[in-house]
Amino acid sequence: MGRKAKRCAGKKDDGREEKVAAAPAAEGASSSSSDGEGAGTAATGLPMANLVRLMRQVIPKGVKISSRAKDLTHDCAVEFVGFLAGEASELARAQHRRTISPEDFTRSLQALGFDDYVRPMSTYISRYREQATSPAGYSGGFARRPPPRATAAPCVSDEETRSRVPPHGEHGDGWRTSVNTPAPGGHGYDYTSPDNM
Amino acid sequence: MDNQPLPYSTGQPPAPGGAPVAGMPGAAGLPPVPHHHLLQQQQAQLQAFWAYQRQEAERASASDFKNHQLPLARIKKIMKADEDVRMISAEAPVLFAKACELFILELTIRSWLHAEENKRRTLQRNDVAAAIARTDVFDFLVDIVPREEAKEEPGSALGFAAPGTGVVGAGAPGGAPAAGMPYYYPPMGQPAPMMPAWHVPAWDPAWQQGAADVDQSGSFSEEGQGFGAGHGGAASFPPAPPTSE
Repeated sequence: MGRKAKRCAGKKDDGREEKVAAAPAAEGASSSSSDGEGAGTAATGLPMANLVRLMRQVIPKGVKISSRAKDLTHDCAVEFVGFLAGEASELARAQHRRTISPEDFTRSLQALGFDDYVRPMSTYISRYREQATSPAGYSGGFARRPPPRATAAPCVSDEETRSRVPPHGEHGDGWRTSVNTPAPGGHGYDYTSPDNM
Repeated sequence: MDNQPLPYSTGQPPAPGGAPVAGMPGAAGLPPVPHHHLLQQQQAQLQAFWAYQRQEAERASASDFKNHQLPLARIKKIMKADEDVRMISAEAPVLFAKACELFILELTIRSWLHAEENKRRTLQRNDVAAAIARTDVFDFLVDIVPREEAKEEPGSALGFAAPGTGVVGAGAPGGAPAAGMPYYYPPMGQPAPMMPAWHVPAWDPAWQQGAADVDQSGSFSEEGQGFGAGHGGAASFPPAPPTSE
């Protein structure tokens, strides 16, 4: 209940045209420059252009979308990701794991009633893993072997390693913050693709 | 401490699937025939959408995993906005981004269905609010929608008054697209070259006069003449061709 209240309070602030204000999150706007978005988009939100492009895929051509409808859909999408992440995190913790895995993700979809999502997402996970094992898909084979340059992206490497090895008690909260800056070496899916068209 | 009670998780779990559209619980109280027809069409559109998504997931390729509609950095920041979410595997943001895409698509379809009921060609905020109010799995969004936005318009064809009725709830996962209704979806990430074939033609005013049972499954290109080709076969509409009189 406490988590729900905290999240709602944050969302209501965003909903009342305070998107230009700095996000209260500790991470701040340090990594928002990597997205290359305009100032109109909140740091903790999603790019509005991408959102509208998605919306237009399922409505007839020529239908207009009001700005307030875009804003409300955007707020709902952000809430959906946070809602899903919170549930997946609880499922991971229930099994004494600190990292959200794809299995936690599919189980959270089922637990929250998004039954229609489970089947396409499960297929998507399988297809994603097939691509991850193919050397032609990625230059570094990120999902298989972490890059040797640990200094470039130490947190990303540790997250990758930790997802395979059971966590030890000696690791405290030191790894709570992940590096959002894309690491050099071509981790293709870790940063925004330039061709968003 | 952080365990929030979910109304739909404490109650009966959602129906596993395969439930016939005619057996919708909310439809029991809808006397007029046209309302039932509209519900059937809406349900068919949502089922077609999910069937298409299942096919699309099968065809996912390497480029699909690289060119996301939603930037992964933003997804990660949203996930980490919750203090309880600490460690995220490298695969998780990709999956959350894809699920977020599906959510935006589903919410937009449901919003558009509401705009169509009110004979509008502009998606408005209250269409999104109505879509949230009607869908059980969207209960976690009720705090985001202001109370007045969730009210149905007086002229709404379906006349839904109570939020969260869930009449147009989750579709049957195993349901196949409606027979005889071809669907075409534009490819992901590209602008739609034409109007999707699943577009439901605008309401004919004769429906509101207690017209007979007529199916609007005709193609939109024959919007003025498709009524004659419907299942009902009743040719009592004013726009019908003269030969039918």
